[in-house]
Amino acid sequence: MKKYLDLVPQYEKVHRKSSRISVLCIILSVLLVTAIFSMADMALRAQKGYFIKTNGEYHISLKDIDRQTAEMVGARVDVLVCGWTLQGSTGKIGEKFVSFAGASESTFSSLTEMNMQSGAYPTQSNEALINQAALEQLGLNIGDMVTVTVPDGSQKDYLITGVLENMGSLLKADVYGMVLSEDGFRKIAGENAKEGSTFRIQFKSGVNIQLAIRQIKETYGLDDNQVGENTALLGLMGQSENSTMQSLYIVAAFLALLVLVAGTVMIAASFNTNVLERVQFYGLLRCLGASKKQVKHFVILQGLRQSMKAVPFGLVTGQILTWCACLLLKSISGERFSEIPLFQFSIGGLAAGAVIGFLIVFLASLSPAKKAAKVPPVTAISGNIQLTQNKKAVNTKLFHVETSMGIFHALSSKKNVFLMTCSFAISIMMFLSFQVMVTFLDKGMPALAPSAADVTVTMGTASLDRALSDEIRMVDGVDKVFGRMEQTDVSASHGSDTGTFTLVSYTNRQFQWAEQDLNKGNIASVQNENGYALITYNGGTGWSVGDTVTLHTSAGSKQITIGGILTTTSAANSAGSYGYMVCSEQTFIEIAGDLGYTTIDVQLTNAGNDDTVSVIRGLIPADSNVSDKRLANSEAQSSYYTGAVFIYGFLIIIALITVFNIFNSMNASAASRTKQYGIMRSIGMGTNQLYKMIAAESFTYAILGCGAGCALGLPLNRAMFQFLIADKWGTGWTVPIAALLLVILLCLISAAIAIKRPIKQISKMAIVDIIKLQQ
Amino acid sequence: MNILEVQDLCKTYGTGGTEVNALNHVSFSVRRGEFIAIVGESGSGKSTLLNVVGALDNSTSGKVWIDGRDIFSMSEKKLTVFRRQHIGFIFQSFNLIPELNVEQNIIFPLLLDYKKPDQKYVNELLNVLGLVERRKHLPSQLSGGQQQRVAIGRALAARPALIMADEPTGNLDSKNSQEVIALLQSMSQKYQQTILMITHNENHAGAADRVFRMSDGILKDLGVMSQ
Repeated sequence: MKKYLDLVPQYEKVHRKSSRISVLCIILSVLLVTAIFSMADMALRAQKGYFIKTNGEYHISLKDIDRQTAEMVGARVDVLVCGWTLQGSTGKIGEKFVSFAGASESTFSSLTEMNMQSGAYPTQSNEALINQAALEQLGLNIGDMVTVTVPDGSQKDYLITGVLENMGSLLKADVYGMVLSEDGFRKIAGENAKEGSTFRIQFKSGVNIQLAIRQIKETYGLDDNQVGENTALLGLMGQSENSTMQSLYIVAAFLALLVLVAGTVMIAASFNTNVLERVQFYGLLRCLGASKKQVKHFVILQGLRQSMKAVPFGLVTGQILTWCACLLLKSISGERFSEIPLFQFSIGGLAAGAVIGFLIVFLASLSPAKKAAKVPPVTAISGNIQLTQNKKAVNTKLFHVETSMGIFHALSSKKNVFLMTCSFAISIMMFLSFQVMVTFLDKGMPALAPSAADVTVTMGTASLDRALSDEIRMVDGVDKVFGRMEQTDVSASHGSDTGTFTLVSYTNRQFQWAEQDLNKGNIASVQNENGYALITYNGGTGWSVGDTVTLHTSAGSKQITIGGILTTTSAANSAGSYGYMVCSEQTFIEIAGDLGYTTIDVQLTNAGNDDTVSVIRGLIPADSNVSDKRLANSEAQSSYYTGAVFIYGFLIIIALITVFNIFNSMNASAASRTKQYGIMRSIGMGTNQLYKMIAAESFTYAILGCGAGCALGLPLNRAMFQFLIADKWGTGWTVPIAALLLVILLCLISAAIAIKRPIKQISKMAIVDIIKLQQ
Repeated sequence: MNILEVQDLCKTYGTGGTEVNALNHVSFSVRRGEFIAIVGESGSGKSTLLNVVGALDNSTSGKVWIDGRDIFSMSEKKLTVFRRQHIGFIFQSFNLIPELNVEQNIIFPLLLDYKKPDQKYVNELLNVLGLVERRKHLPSQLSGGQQQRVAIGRALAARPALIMADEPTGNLDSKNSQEVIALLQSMSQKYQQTILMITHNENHAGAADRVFRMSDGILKDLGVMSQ
């Protein structure tokens, strides 16, 4: 030993156990913060990549502007790439519609959501890319010529130079897709082309996009409708002023703060529990002549050494956890998280972890030094010092002495009880906050509803014969077939108020599926009795179950009682001013007559494939449309799964951290009282009584923590629910009983298991050894 | 009648070259109500003897009977209850429970037994120990002498057959030390309590009925020591 600070490693060697607990706590906190922030960062990058892939990497789009304005905007110093994306013109190949798009090659590749699968990009006005599905259906190849009816009705031959990747939107709309050069598109552009043509702009990095938008609007006299944001991309860049994005930013910032507080509390609680031991040691140093400053230096070095051990380990494990999560996300969801970066580092996540590791440890370790400085050195080393000087004795009248003492131990130090309560409470708060995100996921990015159709048959504004559904049901590979009759603009009056409904009929199966969208009321009466209907939640209209509405049709007026309120409904037509009214087929026929189905939805079996769709095409009238939703459905489904993995992943990390935190806190707390437990055992306390005492302490923390967690977490859960869900979908908040019980149970079970180890250790120790420690 | 019977007690620490015989074939017996002082140099095995006889530590070989019961044949659970009911301990560093007041500390072994303390006896103890005024005080509010008196009260509360005192005056000044010894002596007589006390102070040993000397793990009965 050359200098007094060399005592630090020696001290750590002797107090390996308490040092290990502190190091473990720092590791866990750093791991939590690093993993959550890194995962969030990776998810943002993945989503950004995904939106770039699906929407194009443009920041804003301008419409209804002339070429001269476009050139001037493009010449701005803050613009990186810009170009025209031309859409909105349709033609026909044979009997089927084809949707045209036009762009220069650079605009196509960087600013649009379209991708070229193979071949070369069209450069001449008679060259085109055609989508894969069209190529297959028409039996064409690259290099073939195809005759297309262009918007003006004339026929034009195009040379196919390449293949456009299939897009869900094209298949869903049951149209072909063709991409032309910018010049080629302009030559055939129809009347609607102006509406669909935009000038897309990607700004340089670091540009304040909102400011740039304001400048462009002012300079060129553009109004709000002419400037569109790529909301998803700007949202992820933190540059959106979209209200949904703004509320998500607030929620994200709040959750980040909660995670930081959780990490801080965990470290502070761990450092606080072995404070007595450390105070005695610092007192001894003071007694031997160390100045307050030297003690402070000692403490700082001690904290730094623990951080040096723990922080790199926490960062590495946090990073590995993040990589594992990314790999998992990529493997279960090829599409949505296809852009998730693998084996990349998140500077933000690592920095947050390191800051928590070093700064909080530094601040937390100063507390025992301050205490040591306050205590006279001689008292600090006498062995009779207590963590807190008790002012009141234990109340032994309410419970047995061991239980009373356990509760007293828990409550004796205000700081300790605060930190322990906080660590339980914050875990519960985080759990309840993330639980709202689960509901948000269910609503915002829903799993494929059981009612989702693989194929939808429609016939424009005309109706399909109801018997057609029975014919389709007979096709091999078809699982379920269900149709809906729809009548728009059904005039209705409610008291003195009047409005319109879009009337929709459901079959029994559809009613069963609608159960999960039911906000209020019940479906059975609507399904089985005439004169009852369900209506959909419609913004400010305050419908109640039992209200009666009078419908006015050509057949006369009819009173309908509202049996229930749905959050959403499946309908092809848009809602009336009052929303949708859903009733049984019988009720529908009584009100509006047998109109035939507007839509027939088909679900395929696992054996159902392209051939099944072809057979269905053969059954239906020539002028009807078959919308193939299989690709879009699989994208939606994988989006839900990945979102679920992500949010549940966070929940699992939080739950694990809760368990570890409770384990560590109880271990450290029991370790700091080992001597006292030894004395009690020497006086005659049995192992069971010791168990009860430590259990009483642990459960006091757990119950206080659960109480505080519920008291703070539930209003938080409610506020977030209101903010993210209720305002958008009208769903009423209810106490999340299942999540609440789960997290409380988790806390209590953790508290019960956490005390096992220290009790086992204390029981194993010979009483005489503990008494020797005392003397 | 013998309340304590120790037969051929051995306690060995370490093995081979590092073997230390802390207790070397120790045998003795103590009658009910006797006040025994054990003297000896540091490291002679006094505390080991007290710990083994008090069932706080295991022996390597030998037997110990307290009130006719073989303590080494009992399970850990039974031994805990036995210790609580039949043996009282007084430590050099008091070892009071800081969260309990004077009265609660004294009745603590009874509370552990889920027994209702005999308030009359408790009052008597507080009176004899001179702690009536301090009964609601916490250990941190007492002087060293007062704390040791509380520890003596705690050892007496369950009316144990045997009281083990390991240097009860080690942390006290001479005035308080004398008071504590006098108190132990009077308690032994008043309540017919058997006391085994370790002390370094030959003068304190003079208060005992019999004195044992420990030397290198071997116990020698010195009989009555004249003051």
